[in-house]
Amino acid sequence: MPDEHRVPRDPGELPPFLIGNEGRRFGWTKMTVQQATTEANLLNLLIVDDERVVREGCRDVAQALGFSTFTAENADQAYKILESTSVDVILLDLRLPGIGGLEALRQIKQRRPETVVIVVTGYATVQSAVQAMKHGAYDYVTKPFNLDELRLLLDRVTGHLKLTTENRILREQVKTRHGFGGLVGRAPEMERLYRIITKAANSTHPVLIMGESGTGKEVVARAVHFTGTYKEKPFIPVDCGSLVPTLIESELFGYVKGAFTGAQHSKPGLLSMADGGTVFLDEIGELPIDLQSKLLRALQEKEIRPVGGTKAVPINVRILAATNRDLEQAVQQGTFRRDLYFRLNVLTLRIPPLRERKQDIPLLVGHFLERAERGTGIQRNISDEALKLMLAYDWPGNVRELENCLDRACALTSGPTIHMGDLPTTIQNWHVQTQAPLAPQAAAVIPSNGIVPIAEMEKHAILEAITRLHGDKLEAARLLGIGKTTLYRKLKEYGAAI
Amino acid sequence: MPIVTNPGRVDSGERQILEIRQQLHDLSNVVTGLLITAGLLRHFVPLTGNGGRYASDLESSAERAATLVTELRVGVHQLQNVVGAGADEARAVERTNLCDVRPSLGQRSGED
Repeated sequence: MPDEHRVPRDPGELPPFLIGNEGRRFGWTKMTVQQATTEANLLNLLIVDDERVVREGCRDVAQALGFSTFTAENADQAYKILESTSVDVILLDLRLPGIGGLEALRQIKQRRPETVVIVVTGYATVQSAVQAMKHGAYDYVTKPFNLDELRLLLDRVTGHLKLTTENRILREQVKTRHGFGGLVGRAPEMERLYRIITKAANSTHPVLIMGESGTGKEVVARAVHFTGTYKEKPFIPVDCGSLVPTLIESELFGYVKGAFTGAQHSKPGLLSMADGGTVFLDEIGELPIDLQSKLLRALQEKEIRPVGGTKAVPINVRILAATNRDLEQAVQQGTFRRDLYFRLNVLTLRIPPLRERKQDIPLLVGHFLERAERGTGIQRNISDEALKLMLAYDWPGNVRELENCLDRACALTSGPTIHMGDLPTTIQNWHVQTQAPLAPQAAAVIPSNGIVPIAEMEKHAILEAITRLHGDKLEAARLLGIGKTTLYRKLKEYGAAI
Repeated sequence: MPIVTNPGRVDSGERQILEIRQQLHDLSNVVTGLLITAGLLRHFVPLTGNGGRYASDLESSAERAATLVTELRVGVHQLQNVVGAGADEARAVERTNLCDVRPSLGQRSGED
């Protein structure tokens, strides 16, 4: 492909006509050009035209407007570019050598339904225009056109794409009300994460998702896949941490009949089954070193060799990987291949732990209670004390721990309100551990020898619990882990008001 | 309404028109390249001096060529309608409608 090339954008090298006196003739003031450049800066444009001068002229103008440009002189070259690059806009000549422009349009829309295709033709007819629009063309223009008309066209498509992206983000936000693509949270760290997910979704590069256990790495991976271009294609999660190495290998790469005992039929690997979709490798840090090299080879050569097979199978898959381990440290320690780390670490998404975004806890609680309501039909709420306790807790298990905690509380609580006593003892104990020193009047009397009788400690614990729970003895009994009859008996012994 | 007396002659006329249309398509491509390159050149060459004048003249000529291509296309289309009308009668096929959709003009179609 001698003519296929990518021209890196460099807004600093705008041709003088875009910012000089002459630019004003076309209304291309410095401000509008800079604005256009900023807007178009994120967009990849592919020009498919068999006429070299047209191809290169359009490329130069688009490049000056801030597009990243690619060129192809026929449909086959265009397909190859589309396989490796996320193209936003295509200028497609209707009459191409070999396969016709309309057929090329059909195939492009099949491979990349979200790509905006502008059909360009030297002899326009109503019939071909109708056909082009039926096949999903965004616009249909007739040659010859001049520089200014080309700029208008590109400006229009830039505006359209900007609007489409904004709509997509808004739609996702509306879908979850409190977050993005299944994620819940409005903390600044989460807003930043949503922005990066949107960008990652529009690219085809591997993404490394990092976060502590329970932060929602798979949810993020799903958000990347399902808000992206290939959302109609399969999303295949593989947990590298829970499968034995031999099973991971046969699952990822497939096997041929007779490869091992029990392999009665050939089975395609998940990497080939994804077929244009995404494979999500969870806990990639747990992947054995020999499989790491095999995976690296598959990513580099875009082909896999099934277990026991001799023939390579081509793959077309996007890899999303996640880990809760420090991969850089693993690389230093020699347990993770450096080259694979660099191959996967093209885009990195870091999910903040829940303790760093505690302001999202009420939103998350509301979200999980709503979800529980959808399942059980019972509307529940949470008491202020219980919520305060949850806000004070550090959630080492992150969102997953919060989710489990609420599921458990919903199952345990008898009324519509979740109280402190319905929360797991770990959280309640946390509360007790982090409490300020007890008030002198409530504190157990410590004898001069420093030894407190167990009975005295028990009395103090019971009375303190009832005081803190504003007299709710049932909750106090639950919290203390004793039966309500025992509690009443003890209170009678202490001579306390029942 | 033209009276078709020799269908074979009509077919031959249509073939010729098809060839002209293909040449027009190629010409449109050439003129587009010329227009864009002339436009780029005009903005890269200083306005003063002969270079600027040549670039400006080149752009004007390219614009004129573009207008001529459009006019020629309309002419060919009219010719096609004259020849095609007879063939339509003979074969009851739908005629091709020309449309001109240029970015500056917006979505205008059906110029017939």
